[in-house]
Amino acid sequence: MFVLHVVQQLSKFIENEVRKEFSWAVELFKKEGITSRLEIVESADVKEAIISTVKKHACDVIVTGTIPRKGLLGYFSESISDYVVKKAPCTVILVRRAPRPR
Amino acid sequence: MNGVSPLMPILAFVLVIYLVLKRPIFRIPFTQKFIKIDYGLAPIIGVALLVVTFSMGASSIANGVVGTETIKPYAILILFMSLAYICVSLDSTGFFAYLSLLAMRAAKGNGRRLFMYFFLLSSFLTLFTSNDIVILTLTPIIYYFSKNAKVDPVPFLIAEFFAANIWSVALYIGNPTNIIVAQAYNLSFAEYSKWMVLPTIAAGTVCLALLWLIFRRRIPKKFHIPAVPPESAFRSKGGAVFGSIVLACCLVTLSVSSLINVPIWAITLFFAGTMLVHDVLRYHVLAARKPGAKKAAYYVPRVPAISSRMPWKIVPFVLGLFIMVESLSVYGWTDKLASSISIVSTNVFLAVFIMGFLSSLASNIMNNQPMTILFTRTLQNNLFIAPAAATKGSMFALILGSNFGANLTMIGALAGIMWGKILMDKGCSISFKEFSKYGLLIMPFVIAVACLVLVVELMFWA
Repeated sequence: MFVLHVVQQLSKFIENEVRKEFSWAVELFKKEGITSRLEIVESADVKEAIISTVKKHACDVIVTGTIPRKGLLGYFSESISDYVVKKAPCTVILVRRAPRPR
Repeated sequence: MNGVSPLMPILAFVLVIYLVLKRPIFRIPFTQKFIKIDYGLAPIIGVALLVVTFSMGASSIANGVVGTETIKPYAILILFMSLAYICVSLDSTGFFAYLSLLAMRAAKGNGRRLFMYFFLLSSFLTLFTSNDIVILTLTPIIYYFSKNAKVDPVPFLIAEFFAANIWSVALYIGNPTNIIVAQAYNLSFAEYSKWMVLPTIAAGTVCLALLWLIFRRRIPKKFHIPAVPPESAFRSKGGAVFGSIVLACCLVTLSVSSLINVPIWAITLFFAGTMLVHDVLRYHVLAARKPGAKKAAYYVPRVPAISSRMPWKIVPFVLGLFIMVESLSVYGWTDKLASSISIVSTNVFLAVFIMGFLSSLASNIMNNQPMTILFTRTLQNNLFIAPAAATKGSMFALILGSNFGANLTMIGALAGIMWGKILMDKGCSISFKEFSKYGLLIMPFVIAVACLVLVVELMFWA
């Protein structure tokens, strides 16, 4: 299981911040006995980075969050999950945003 | 072009603006492939539409690409892309992130001080680089800081964004729109600064005061300082030092470019080339020879990564828009616009204020870059008849509007859409309505003050 996060540019500071931010997800998998790895990818294009990582690891399923886009900004902003659904070489499961477990 | 509706260029222009803002994804018929129409592709579709409907001839396309005696799109693009390379490369060393963390530490847990520091840092960095790069770098850092320190990010984010789009006016290189107008009027780097520095200082001061007034209750008095050493932001200290020296030398050479009689695009191209050679040597040749190179390479900037962050799509975007505006000109639309604006631009005061506000508003209807290209052609039209000082005032007010318009609503510039998207992807959304509320509260005063300072300058110096 890969927990993927894409950043514009990777530095020690950003890596530490991302590890802190996603520790809950890695812990959650660990609790369930699933081996997982946090993969931090540096790219200027988040959606392309998702697709290329999926291809690189020959993943079977992509599980990605989706945030409902509301209002005028929502209308004018592209959704990463839309793009992933269209370009992914495998099954995609979209999860609507839910509160983070505490 | 007999029998072709003169409305066609207008319709194509509107379609292009819509596609630039909406960026739809289409399925290619009879295939499983999808194509995304973004700001790089939209103007090409617009030009193709004009060609297939016989609304545009080869001469319009040639004029749009090669330019006229005054506007040379290729010079604008070389200048902009060279500067973008220098700034992106410098940013990739982690230098700007380092400065942000330094500002965070210097605030010593005082929220109000930090608000001021972020505004000043965003202003300072924009002054010497460009607004887009500052927004791309500072936004994620402010987001991470707010999350760690558990403070409301909105005042800090708005301050950073507004500062970036105000201080980008000061120097020739702050925004592609500045370059478009300045090239059209053959302004030197030094002359541009002479006129634009004072309105920028006035606008920046008023903006900071109003932001403070609006957000003072939302800014925490104290915050917990995240224990992050600023040095952890660096990816290449040596690269940061070299990049800063190259940028400084480039700016100094630009400011004396009129004395040495070298086109400014050639100066920026030379320094970008120097930076590229340095990057290849330091990050590829020398880095590979170092012991433990594989481990260290994890953070080291790479030329392909720097290149992927370059705004390449601006090349077809700007060229396509120049061609489309050329077709609007052929059908007499810029004549109509020019005569309408010149009717009300009878003196310096009216010319500056009308163009300042009109261009700010128009940026939010058609985005600031298409607006700047269209309005620059309009102001150069023979039917734009106004006193010399008023014409000069309109030109400088257009620069003000093309930058400040980005702060009115989030769709005024591509930077706003990009900024909103970075935050939305991180689940820290600022709605269009909330952003516009601050923009419409603050920016009319900022635009008015900057225009007023410009009028005073024109009265004394023109």
